[in-house]
Amino acid sequence: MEKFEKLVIRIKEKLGDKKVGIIYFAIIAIITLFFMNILKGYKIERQEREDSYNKALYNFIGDISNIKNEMLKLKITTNDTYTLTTLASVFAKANSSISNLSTLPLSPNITEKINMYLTQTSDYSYTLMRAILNSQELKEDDIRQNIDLLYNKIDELDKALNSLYIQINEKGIKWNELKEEGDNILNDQITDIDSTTSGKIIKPFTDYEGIIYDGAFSNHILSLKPKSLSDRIISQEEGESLLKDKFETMNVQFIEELNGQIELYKYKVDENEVYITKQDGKLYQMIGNRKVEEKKIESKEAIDNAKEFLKKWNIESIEQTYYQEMDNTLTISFAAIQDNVICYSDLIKVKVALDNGKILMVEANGYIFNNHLRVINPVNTEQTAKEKINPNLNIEKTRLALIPTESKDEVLCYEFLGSIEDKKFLVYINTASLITEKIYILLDTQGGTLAI
Amino acid sequence: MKKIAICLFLCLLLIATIVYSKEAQSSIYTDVPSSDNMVELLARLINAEARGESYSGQVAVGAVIMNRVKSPLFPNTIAGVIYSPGQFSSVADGQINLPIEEDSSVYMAAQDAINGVDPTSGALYFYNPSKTKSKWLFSLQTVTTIGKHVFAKER
Repeated sequence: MEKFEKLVIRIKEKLGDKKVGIIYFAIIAIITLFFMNILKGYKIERQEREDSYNKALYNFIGDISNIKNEMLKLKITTNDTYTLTTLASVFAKANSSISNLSTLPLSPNITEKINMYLTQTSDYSYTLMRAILNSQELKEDDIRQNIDLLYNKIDELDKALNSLYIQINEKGIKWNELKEEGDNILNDQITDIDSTTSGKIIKPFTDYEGIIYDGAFSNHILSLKPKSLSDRIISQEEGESLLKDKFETMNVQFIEELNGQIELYKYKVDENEVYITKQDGKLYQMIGNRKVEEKKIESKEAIDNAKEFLKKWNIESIEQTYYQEMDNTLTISFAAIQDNVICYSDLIKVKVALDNGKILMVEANGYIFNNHLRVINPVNTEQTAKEKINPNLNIEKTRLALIPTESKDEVLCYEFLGSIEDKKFLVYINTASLITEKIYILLDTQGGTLAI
Repeated sequence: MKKIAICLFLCLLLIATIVYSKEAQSSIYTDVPSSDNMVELLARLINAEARGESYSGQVAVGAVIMNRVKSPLFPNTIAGVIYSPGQFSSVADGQINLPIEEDSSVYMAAQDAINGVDPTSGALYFYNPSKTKSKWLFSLQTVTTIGKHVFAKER
C-alpha cells in the first residue's frame, strides 16, 4: 500500500497536477461509460423478458376466451361433425394455454389451480372426440353436465383474466409487481378446486414417452388402490426377517416408514435401499448406487439373473419386453403373463450390473398396483382383427395383450408385430370393438429398443 | 490519499463488474429439445439441487420432477416443469448450468428417475428447511427426509 502511494506521488510529481486531473477525469469517464453500457444491456434484457411474458399473457388470455366460446358452442350443437371440429379446437387451445401458462411468473398455487382446469378440459375433449369417432354410445346428460362444469370454470378464469388485463393496461402493473397483483386478482375470482372432481382427473398426455426405453406402456397411470396386495399388514420385524431370508444376509436395518402414494417400509440391506409394501410385504423398490466399471457378462446372463431374483419374490409369470444398456448396466422391463396374455400394466424394471451380475435396481410400482387375476375373453377372432390392419404390414407375430388406456382401464387387444419397408410397428386392435387402440413405432437404438 | 482510495475503490468495482458480467454471459444457454437432452436436463437439475446428497437423495429430486410431469397440476414435459418460473432456486440463480463433474452419479440418478424409481413415493414438492421461510411449504405433509431435503405432498 505504501509503495503504491509512493508510486502515485512520484507519477504526480512527474506529470504535474493538470495531467493527473485529466487522467482522473478519463478514468471516471470510462467507468461511467462502462456502467451506462451495463445498464443499457440490463434494460434490454429486462425488456426482452417482459416482452416474452406479455406475449404469453396475451396468448393465454386469447386461448381462454377462445376455449370459452367454443365450449359455449358445444353446449348447443347437435351435429357430430361440428362437435368433433369444435372439440379438436378446444383440445388444441387448452394445450397451447397450458404451455403459455407455464411461462408466466405467477405463484405456484395459482398456476397449479389453473393447470388443473385446463388439463381437465384438454383430457375431456380428447376423450369425447375418441368416443364420437368410435361411435360409442354417449350418455348425453353426463356430457352436458361435465361440459357445463368445465364451462363454468373456464368462464370464471376468463373473467378473472379480463380484469387482470384491464388492470395491466390501465394501471400499468409492472411484471415484477404482477406476481402479487396477479395473485390477488386471480385468487379472489377463481374458486378452489372442487375436491370431489379433482380426484377423477387423469393426465394421459405426458410428452416423455420417447425417452423411456422400457416399452410402450410404461407411462400408464397407476390405479389408485394397489390391486396385487391383500389386506394383511406386516410388522417392521416381519419385514426385516423377510428381507434377511430373501437377500440371504443378516445385514438388514429398518430405516423408516413412508406414507406417500402407498404405505412402505424402507430398509437398508447391505449397501442397498429396499422398500417393501406395508400391506402384504411385497418388494416395491430397490435402489443401489454402485458404479459399474466394466462389462464382464452378456445380456442373456443378466436377464437370467433378474428372473432368478424375481422368482425369489414369487414373481414368475413374466416376460421381458424391452431392455436398455447404459454404463455397464442392463435395465430390463418385465410384464406379467396370464394365460399367455401379456399384461402391459403390470411392469417391473430390474437393473443388473454387468460386472458381477448382481441386481442394482428394482422398480415394481406398476406390478404392485395393477397385477391381479383377470377374466380374459376375446370377443372376435384373430382373423377378424387382422382384416382391420393395413394390408401392407408384414405381420411377423400376433398375440393377445392387455393394454392400459388413458382412462385408467385396460382393454384386451390383438398385438400385431409387423413391418413396412424397414420400419417395425406394433399395432393393437381391440378384440371387442375392433378399433385400433394404439400404434407404436419400434426403433433400435444403441441402448435398446425404443417404442414411440 | 482520499483520491487514491476512491480510485482504488473504483478499480475494484470495475473488476467486479467485469467478472460479474462475464458470469452473466456464460449462463445464457439454449436448449434444443431431444430425448437425450431431457436426461441431460434432468441430470443438470439434480446436479444443481442435490450434488452433495446421497444417491437416493439425487434420485428423489429427479423423481419429484417426474411426478410433476405426470400430475395434472404441472406442465407435461420435463423442460416445462423445470423451467416454470419461480419453481426451482437453481434455475433462478443459474446453478442449473453448472458443469457436471466427470464421475458424478447424477446421470444415473436421472435415468433411474425417468425409469420410475421414486424414493419419495409420489412427492410433488421438496425443500431445504434451513433455506426456506415459506409457510406454505412447511404446511405440506412430509413424506420423507433425505439428507438436507424434505419431500412432501399436499395434505
